[in-house]
Amino acid sequence: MADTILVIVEQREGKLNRVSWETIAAGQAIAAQTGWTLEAAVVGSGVAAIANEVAAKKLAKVYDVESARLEPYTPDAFAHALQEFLQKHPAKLVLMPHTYQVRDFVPSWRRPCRLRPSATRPDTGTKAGG
Amino acid sequence: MKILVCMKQVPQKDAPLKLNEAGTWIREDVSYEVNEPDAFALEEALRQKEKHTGEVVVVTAGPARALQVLREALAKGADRAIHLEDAAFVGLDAYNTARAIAAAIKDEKFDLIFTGLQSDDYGYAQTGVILAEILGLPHATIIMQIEKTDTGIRVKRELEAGFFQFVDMPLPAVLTIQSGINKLRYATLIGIKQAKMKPLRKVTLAEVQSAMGGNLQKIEKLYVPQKSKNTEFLEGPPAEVAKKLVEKLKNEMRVI
Repeated sequence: MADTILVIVEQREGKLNRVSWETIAAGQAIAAQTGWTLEAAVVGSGVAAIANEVAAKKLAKVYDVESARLEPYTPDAFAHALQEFLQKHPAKLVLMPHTYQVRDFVPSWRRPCRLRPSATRPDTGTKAGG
Repeated sequence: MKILVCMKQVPQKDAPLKLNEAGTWIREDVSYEVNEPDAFALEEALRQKEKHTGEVVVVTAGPARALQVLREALAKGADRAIHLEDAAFVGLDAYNTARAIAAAIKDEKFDLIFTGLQSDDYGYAQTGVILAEILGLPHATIIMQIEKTDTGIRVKRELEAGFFQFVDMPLPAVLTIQSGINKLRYATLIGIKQAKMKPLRKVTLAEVQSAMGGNLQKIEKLYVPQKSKNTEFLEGPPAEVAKKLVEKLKNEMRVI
């Protein structure tokens, strides 16, 4: 598994959810502590402009995960798209803003045949362990 | 409609909490109550049954004390209860809790499964969604309204910033219910009496253990937030101080 931190940027109807900036800042802090590479993914339909906006920040790479099926938002489509993406681009740590949308689709990943990550709620702080 | 309501017993909101010796969770000797969103989930299930007929089944996973949650639900009108009884259920992560519940109901076919939006203790907000995934059912979270349609149900989801989303879903489905979706009822005296006669199925840890695994998540340390006071003087000409103050209120305090 690559030493990568992936931030999933949230958008709704083509507008970036500002809490994503906080998630990117948390990713930058962990990247500074660990030396891992920081990347981000914007998921949706017609979200290239947001991906470009995010790419202006201090990140190694920003992915634009596009599909017409991702608009309007449904938890099944989002879980499926991100699952496929993460199988192709495995990350050591995936960070997401703690939003209603994330809480709607992320727990689905825990199915045995899916990714089985351990989701937690770093609302207030994160610390990289040794 | 046959509806399952997943309920949890949590420490009472105003109960003074003490950490256990290992500092990994709270001590058991507190007062307990029904997790608030679960109470609304039960109420919604009872209302749906009253509208469309059917059966309401309640399930909980926890030690003997958790039976109280089921007793109250039966007194309010639930038809029967399932108790996954073991102290070990308290320390499970959301994935294992969902796996245990899924194993306990494997022989049943529900049209709808309700959970509260999240528990007031762990606050993961994941058990319902994971349960849907394990059972291979569609789900929707933070539900504010449920209407039966010709093809299934139409639900109203709460989003952030005052937005709502309406979703048409087929049945069977799993919904996580938001507090305030309805007005809670009280148990009647007759209800309390009748509750004692209603069927209660006990499920032991051994019966569902083969479906479970080790926790993927472990609480390392729990602590009371440390309060510290800090006075900072902003110096310089008034215009500059005002500018610094606005910056601090905006970026550090986030109050403006």
